[in-house]
Amino acid sequence: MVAPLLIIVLAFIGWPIIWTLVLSLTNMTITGPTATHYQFIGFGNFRQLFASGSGLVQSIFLSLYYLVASAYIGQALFGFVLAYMMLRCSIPVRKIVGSIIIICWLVPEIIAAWMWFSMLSDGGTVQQGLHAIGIPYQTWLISHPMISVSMANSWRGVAFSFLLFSAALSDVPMELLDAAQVDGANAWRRLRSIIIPLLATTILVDFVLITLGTLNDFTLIFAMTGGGPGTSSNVLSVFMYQQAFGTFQLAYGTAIAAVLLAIGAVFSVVYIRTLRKQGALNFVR
Amino acid sequence: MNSQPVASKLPTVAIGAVGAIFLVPFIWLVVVAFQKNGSLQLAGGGGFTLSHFADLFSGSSSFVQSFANSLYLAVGTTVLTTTVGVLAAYPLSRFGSRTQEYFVYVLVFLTGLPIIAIMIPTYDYFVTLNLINSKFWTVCFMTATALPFATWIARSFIDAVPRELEEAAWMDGQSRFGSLWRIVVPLIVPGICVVAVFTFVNAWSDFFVPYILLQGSNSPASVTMYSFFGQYGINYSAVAAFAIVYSLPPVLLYLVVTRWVGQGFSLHGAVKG
Repeated sequence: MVAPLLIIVLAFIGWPIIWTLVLSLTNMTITGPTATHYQFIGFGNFRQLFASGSGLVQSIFLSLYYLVASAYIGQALFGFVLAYMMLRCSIPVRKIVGSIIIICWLVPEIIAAWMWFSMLSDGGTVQQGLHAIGIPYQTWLISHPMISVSMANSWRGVAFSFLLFSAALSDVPMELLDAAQVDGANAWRRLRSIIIPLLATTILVDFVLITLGTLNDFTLIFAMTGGGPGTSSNVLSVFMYQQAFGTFQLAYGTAIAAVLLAIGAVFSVVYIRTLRKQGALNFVR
Repeated sequence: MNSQPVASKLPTVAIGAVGAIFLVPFIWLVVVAFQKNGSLQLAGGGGFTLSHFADLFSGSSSFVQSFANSLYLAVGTTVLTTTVGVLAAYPLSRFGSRTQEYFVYVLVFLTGLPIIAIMIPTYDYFVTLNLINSKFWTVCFMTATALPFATWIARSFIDAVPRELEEAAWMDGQSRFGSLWRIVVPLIVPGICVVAVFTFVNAWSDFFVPYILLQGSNSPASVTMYSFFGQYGINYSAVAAFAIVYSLPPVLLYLVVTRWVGQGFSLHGAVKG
């Protein structure tokens, strides 16, 4: 019964993973003589990649920026604050705003990218709006590409963390919070000493999942800025694409892919360990 | 704080403001789609018209073709993923051997691996084996990427079905397939819906995989949408109408299924395993 799954996954994921590692040791290109007659060149691609001036360091830095700004601050922290405040919010407002946030998440990524691309363009709604509140007039996608894509990604992705934290917060026993209040704990103290410890696993799961999701994100940045202007928003995934399909150095691109795979693998292991500790992977015996 | 948190002014106002800000892109999109000649601004786009939606179905628009391709990819991936996933989840839930346990670890591990990182070699071997620009093989690839998560979620739903029910069926001479089909499947219909909707929404919205593996008349709506970016002299109203119709299926599906299965369903597996 597992056979169909095994065949499909091995053929379409297992093999490409191995092939990624193999190709990264060759000099294959999309066109030209090395397209079909490629040779093994050892770790040449990696040497080129880790040499200064390859753009890898900049891409890692930009991916980290994107991760911290759009995922950790714009999704996890913001999502937690939203979920926490919603507990004290009138029910109709909670329902309406909750739905809006979820719809932002359901809309196809390319549509989210197009809306933000248009609104941040010259004459767009956000550009005009920010100008109206005193921020200098500018073409955001050119003057601040990373802020632009991070804003769009927070808007799109906050729902995931928000839903996760909402579900976890609704499980926090109110009696516990009341008792703490009677004992004189203020709101900050209750948050720090009761709510956050109770939500520890949820917080970890959220961080791992949004880290994986954000590092793998390609569509939003590719469509909004294409990694530019210049290379100023060239996060790892876009960098990989540019090298493989933009400059036709397929093998060099797979070396970057191998780096991405390695980062993903580390977080996947963290994720498995978290779930194991939580008992989510236990077998019903 | 009372035993039930009471609504107070400040959070309500703050949340309301967040909601209003989040709504801005949609307001622009919807207003422009119904204007005669919409632009980046809300004002000055001309009077109300439905013509942009009607134009989508005219012969010159790429809409019908790309929408049909999106449907092919999403439905194909959903059907294949759900079937293969449930079939594989059953033994993974029922036979708790060591092998099965490692198998589940591998599945979870694959769930976290970046699919974009394997797109270059996939492109290479799709070209070599002449599978490139085929919707069918693209569906197979998308199924493979969706399967680890789908199987894992399906397993958690099957775990909840008591074995005793099946044991009774085995006594009556049912095979494993028989008890899966007649007893387990009807009980996990909500779970199957979760898997199906999750897979459908992802496949429907996918851009990178079809962008690499499909071209021309095989392109789905996401890739067609990409061609509108930064186009000079673009008709914003026409693109907005395209965007709205393309966005509707995932939104509607989610709303219908949450009504039926319960809120936050898609996170069930991620949180509880």
